[in-house]
Amino acid sequence: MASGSLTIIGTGYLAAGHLTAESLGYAETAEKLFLLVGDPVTKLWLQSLNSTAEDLHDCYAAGKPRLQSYQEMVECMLAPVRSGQNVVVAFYGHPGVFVYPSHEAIRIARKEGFPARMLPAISAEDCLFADLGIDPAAHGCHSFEATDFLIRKRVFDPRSHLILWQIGAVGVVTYENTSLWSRSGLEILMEELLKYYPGHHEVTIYEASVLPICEPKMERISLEQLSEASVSVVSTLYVPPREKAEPDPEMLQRLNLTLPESGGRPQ
Amino acid sequence: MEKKHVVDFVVKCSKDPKVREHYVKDPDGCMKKHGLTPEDRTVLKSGNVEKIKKYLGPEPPLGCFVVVVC
Repeated sequence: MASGSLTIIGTGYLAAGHLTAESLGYAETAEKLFLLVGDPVTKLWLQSLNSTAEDLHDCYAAGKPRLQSYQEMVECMLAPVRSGQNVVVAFYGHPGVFVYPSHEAIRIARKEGFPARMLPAISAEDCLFADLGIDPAAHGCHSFEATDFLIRKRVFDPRSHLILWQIGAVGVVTYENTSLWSRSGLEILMEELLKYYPGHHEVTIYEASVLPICEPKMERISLEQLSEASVSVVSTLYVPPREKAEPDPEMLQRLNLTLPESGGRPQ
Repeated sequence: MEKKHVVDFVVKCSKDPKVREHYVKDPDGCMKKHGLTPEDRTVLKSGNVEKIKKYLGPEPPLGCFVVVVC
């Protein structure tokens, strides 16, 4: 086994508040720490924990293809691993959720014989469950990237919770230097959702809080207002169940379950 | 780093519920206690995430975390 190693950690969303004790230990003791985080507080805090910390943001540049930036990040992460160092890379949120270079770096490191692992962290979805008070166990929960949801005509049950990510970047594959990347994409998303939900159905535009002195964004609007709403590329759309799903009598019988008189969970 | 005292204060708010509670009840009193200047206090009290992030240092462009799926 080669001597270098790669560990990928996530900083969660709240600056300095969401890093797990396990990940903190890795960040502090890394021989080389890389970071790609979304706010200056987390960046400066990580730099104070480990003097080797190096920001990967320089891999991004206006007009540069996104995939090229990701490949450069992967090479940055792997170079010190190949030199025998224990490398830790800290990503914003959960390092395995909506992050391409983390998965790719682990895949290549393992292929080359280096120990590589990812530690779990707090994702935007975890923040959403806590802030909006949603339990995915009740009603079930679908979660899709918004463009993927539209172009692949994802099948979902409107009686479940529905979470759509990146609603401010629907249909856009280039980088735009604006808060909302496509108002027309948002309008198309609204039109599609209106095929399954009434116009007055209340939905929430959500953004997790990154600073402890700021509140998360939780703007409740009716679905028919979505195309005109205040949305950015980091906004997420939460759509609550349209109605409650009724249990199937045949399946209840097969499982030897009965419903209580007052409704609720089968017994 | 010029705004290190502000960053340290925000980190304290993240990690210490008593500091955060004090901030919620009495933002000015709490920030004064931790040595924040009138300018710092005005920016933080705005509650505007983008404004605060800009004040604290250079930040990545908003869309750099968007993942292209098609």
